[in-house]
Amino acid sequence: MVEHQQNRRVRALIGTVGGQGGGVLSDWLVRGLLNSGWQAQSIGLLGLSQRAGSVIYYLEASPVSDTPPILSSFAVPGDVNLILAQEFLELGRLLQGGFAAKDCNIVANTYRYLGTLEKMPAEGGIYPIEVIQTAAETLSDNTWLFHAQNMVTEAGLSYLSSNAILLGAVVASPSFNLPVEPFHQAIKDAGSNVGDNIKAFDLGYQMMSDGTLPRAHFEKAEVKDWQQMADERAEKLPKKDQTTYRNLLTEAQQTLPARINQTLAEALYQLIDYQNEAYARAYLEMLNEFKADENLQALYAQHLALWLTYEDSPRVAQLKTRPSRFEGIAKEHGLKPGQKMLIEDYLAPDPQQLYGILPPVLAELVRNIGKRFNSDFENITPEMKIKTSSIWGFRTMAFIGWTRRFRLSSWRHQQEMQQIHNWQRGIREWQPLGDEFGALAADAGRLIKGYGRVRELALADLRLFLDQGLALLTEIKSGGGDAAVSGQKALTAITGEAGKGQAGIDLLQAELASLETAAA
Amino acid sequence: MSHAFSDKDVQQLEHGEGQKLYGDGALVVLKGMLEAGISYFGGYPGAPTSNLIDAAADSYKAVLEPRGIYMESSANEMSAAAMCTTSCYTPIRGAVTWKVLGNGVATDVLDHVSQIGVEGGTLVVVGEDYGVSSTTVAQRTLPWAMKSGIVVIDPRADQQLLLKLTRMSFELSEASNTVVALLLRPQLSHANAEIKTGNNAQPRFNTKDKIKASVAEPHRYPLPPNTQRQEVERYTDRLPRAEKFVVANDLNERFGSKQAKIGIITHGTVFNTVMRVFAILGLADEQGNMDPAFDLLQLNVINPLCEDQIADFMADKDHVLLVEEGQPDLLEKQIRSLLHQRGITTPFTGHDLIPGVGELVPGKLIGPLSEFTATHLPEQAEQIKKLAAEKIERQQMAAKLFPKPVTPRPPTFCTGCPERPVFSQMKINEMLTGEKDWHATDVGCYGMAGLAPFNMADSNMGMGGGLAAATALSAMSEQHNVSVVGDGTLWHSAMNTCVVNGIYNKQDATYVVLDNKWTAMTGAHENPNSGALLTGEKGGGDLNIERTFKAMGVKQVVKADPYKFKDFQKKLKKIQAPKEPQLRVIISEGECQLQRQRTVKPERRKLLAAGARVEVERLGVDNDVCVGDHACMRVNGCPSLTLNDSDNLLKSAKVAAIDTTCVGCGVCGEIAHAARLCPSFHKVTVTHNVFWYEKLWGRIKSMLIPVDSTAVAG
Repeated sequence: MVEHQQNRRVRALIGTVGGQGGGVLSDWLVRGLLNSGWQAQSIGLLGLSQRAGSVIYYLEASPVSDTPPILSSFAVPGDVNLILAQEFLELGRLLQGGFAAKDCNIVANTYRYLGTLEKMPAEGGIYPIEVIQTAAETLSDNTWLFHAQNMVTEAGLSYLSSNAILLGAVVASPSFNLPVEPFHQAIKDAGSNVGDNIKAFDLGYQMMSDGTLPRAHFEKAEVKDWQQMADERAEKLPKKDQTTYRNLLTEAQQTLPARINQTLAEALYQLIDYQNEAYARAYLEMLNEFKADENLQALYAQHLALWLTYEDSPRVAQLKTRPSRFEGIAKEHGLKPGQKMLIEDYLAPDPQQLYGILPPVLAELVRNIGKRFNSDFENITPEMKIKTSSIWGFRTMAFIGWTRRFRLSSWRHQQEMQQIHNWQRGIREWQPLGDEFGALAADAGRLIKGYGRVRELALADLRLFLDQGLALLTEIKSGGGDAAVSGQKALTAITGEAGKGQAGIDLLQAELASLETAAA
Repeated sequence: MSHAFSDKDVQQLEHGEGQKLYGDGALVVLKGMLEAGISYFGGYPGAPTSNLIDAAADSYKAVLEPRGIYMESSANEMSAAAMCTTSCYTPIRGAVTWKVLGNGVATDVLDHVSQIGVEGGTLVVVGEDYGVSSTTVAQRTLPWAMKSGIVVIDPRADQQLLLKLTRMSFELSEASNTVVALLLRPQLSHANAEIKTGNNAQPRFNTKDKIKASVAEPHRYPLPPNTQRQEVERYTDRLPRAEKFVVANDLNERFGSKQAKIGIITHGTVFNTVMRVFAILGLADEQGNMDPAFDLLQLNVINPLCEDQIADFMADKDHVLLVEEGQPDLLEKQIRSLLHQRGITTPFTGHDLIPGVGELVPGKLIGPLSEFTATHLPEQAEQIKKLAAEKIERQQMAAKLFPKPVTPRPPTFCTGCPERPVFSQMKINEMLTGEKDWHATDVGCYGMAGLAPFNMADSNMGMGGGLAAATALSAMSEQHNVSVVGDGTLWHSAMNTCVVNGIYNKQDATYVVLDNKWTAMTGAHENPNSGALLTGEKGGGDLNIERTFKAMGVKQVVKADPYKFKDFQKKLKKIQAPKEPQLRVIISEGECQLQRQRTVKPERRKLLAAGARVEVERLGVDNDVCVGDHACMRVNGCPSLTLNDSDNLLKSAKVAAIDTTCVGCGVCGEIAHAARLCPSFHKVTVTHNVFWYEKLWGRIKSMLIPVDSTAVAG
């Protein structure tokens, strides 16, 4: 056997996203190591570096010896003793590859840069970070998982210096534990954003050295209790509505289960903001119908409120002309004194969005006349760009928003209520067959999202699920399957993309077929 | 304009004996060429050697030009190969480069150069990429080179050795009058390391010290009977001389103990993987010292095979293992035939143990190498198996931790790219009409249309062959044929292969030319359409795409702005419904956004610093208007269009959001219009350093409407 001289030999994988400065990061590290008197080499694959794909660098380094080592071009599974990830999903990718050795140090940014495939499905596309965290902590005792971007910006540094804080952490980590100067030099030589990068490097270095760098810190979306939420929502309403909102919420909570407190706090706010107190009361009454099943009721409460605040043109105009919207945009774009901001809204209302505001009789008249002139009338979409920040644009939009006072007698409202009644009827019909069927019918309400064409597709999906999907699920249940699990699977498939209703049905049919085969 | 190398990087090329150079494999190869004293360089960019083109282009002014080195921005690989003719008739050294697929493009011409033979050292740096880390097919250079009588250097991964082999390749070429191919794999090309340099050599003949007159040599003209004579020479004289040179100069290396009874033969970067696996199995250290039971022969030159060297190596061994990567496994076939010819009976193992197809990554070798070594070293077998199992178990353990595979992250069009909106529009049309066209695409960034979210590349059959790939289909399919090509690929070869072919054969198809002024896929290289050479100097001629098509007799040629959907759609629809079956061209004009931003951003910074009035556009999404259906994501795919939590607790999906990297191209909004999506998108124009009257008007306006449109409060 050959004795290994591999004390302090570092074999590192660096997981990056193309275009996010991964090349610079690995170059800083190699140059810093060479400046420190080490020998080092990094290899970058793939070559499509600007295009937001995964780019992985492999680095081998060791203190200089007489005979230069023979370096490997590839990382060996189970043999990598340092993993540096610029983004959290990329950490997952490296861990999944099985590269981490037992003594692997893991320094990873918990920042998520969503990939195209994660963004495409409407729901359920984003990879669960808990899986990656568990994997990291199972495979290594030395993990440092933190949000680099947030840490540098909290320290008053540029967002772009996030790579440097990662570098600082790695250089101070047990993998290297080297002095700072050679790496400062590497950053200076690279020449971009030097001041902030050196400060960010020092921050990472310091925190790793003094043990204050978090082992696993995830910025969780703040979970607010319903009271806090209610306070915030109330603030957004005009003075006169604030009391109404609070009273109505208190009143509703007396009869409804506590588990839907948060939903209620949001729903009542949205409904009052959308229309008025009476509209919110009507919603509460509708909730009563399904009080026998709390689970069903909770799902129903969430999706019904959202449906009742469907986005017709008055709603869009209302949201687009809020003073808080302009404040928000000014803040997002960092508007400073002496600067001007122009906002142009891209609107593409289909005829329904326009004549829908009218009372049914008038709307039907417009529709009939329109169809006489153009058989494809319903599909004509005027493409409008409205300068909402101009006086004319704002006033036009504000006027459309104002028409919401006539909403409840509009054609569109009649249509939506009809669809809601169909959904309610579905729940009513399926509920007696078992709790899971009622709950699934109620949960299917979450399919309804989108405008115009997309919404039409979603409505058709819902109809299909209520008519055929649930029927198939009863067969699955009688065939020995778990209707709740299969139903959720089908709903997930359909929710991904409006118009995929048939895919959900196909899935259920396949499931049923396999149950039947198993039984035979 | 510099491509990838800074002035500091380039200055290192002037370093002499005993100095250091830090850089990637391309810079090392270029340094080797300078040390060998080349007089000309050219090629066509493609991974993994586009960085070699970058290195030469970026160092042209400072290093190449002063030495009188001629650099050509070759129109394609065949042009580059043709330039090598220089070395056939003069003692001039030169080099060209292309990616592995370029071998095929260059073949016709290079076969002639190879047949005639060269006087001056001639090097082809081939971007060998058997692991397919770029747009290529899995292919080895070896079979191509063998049939063309070209010497192949396949270095192990060591940048210092790479420098030496590059320099020596010219001597080898001259010693054998043979063209030499150096395989620059991504593992070498994309590796950053430090090396010790040697002195550069000044080329005797160059653009300043010119040859008085070239000597005509009729007896070398490649026609019979010269051809037959050259063929005999090549195989009986030239290639055997190459073999002698390789042995005499120790270009192939030995590791381990020469007396050892177990032999291993490796080639290229497979060597490094084998050595690392041996180290893991406790049979070598990381300095390359092997267990005395082993003798290893590393072939840095794989064609011609040094038969005597291999026969000697095998003669007194108990067993020899060849670790050869990929197919066709010509090393193994040749060695087996050699053993047979010479009656050598040493037991020999090759692809009967080592995986025969695909890149030999470490994970594929741990098993076979531990099996082989454990069999031949029975007393260490237990230990070897234990060490191998440790690694394999780690891998299995990790796999179990991911019940749901980590979502792949395919590359996508850059933020603001002018090519994305073309595919968005075609995707939207497909969605709205339900009609699917046949998309015969070509090689370039637009090949990414075959990935999410578009999945709109039905065929992608090699550079410059896109439209031609669908000629028979155009005639026989009811589906409409739409082919996409970029300006780089068009001038590379598609103008002839596709356009001439299509016009001449009356092909009924729509040809979408994505004119972004750059060969962008390779990392932004100048092409005949950019008006500049790779060196940044102004190019000759006026190669205007629209006028060229018209001159060729294409009746329907229209230009359109891909960012303006309404106009583009109108033109696209018109051109897709032709009066007569013919080739119709729509030129989508929009500069590569990556390149555009490289000029726009510094200019803007300069103007802002000077206090000038500047407008900056960016798009946004209204969180409360977006319902989270993600319909826009499925026809867009811009990196800056992402997701955020909804402010409304009732919404079960995340809603769209646009991050600060948005360049304000407006495509998100155009998509919302064209696909009839939603009213969530808005464009924000922030004007810096506004005029006094704008401030005044802002104040008045803020009294009339609650819009803080001029932040004049401060």
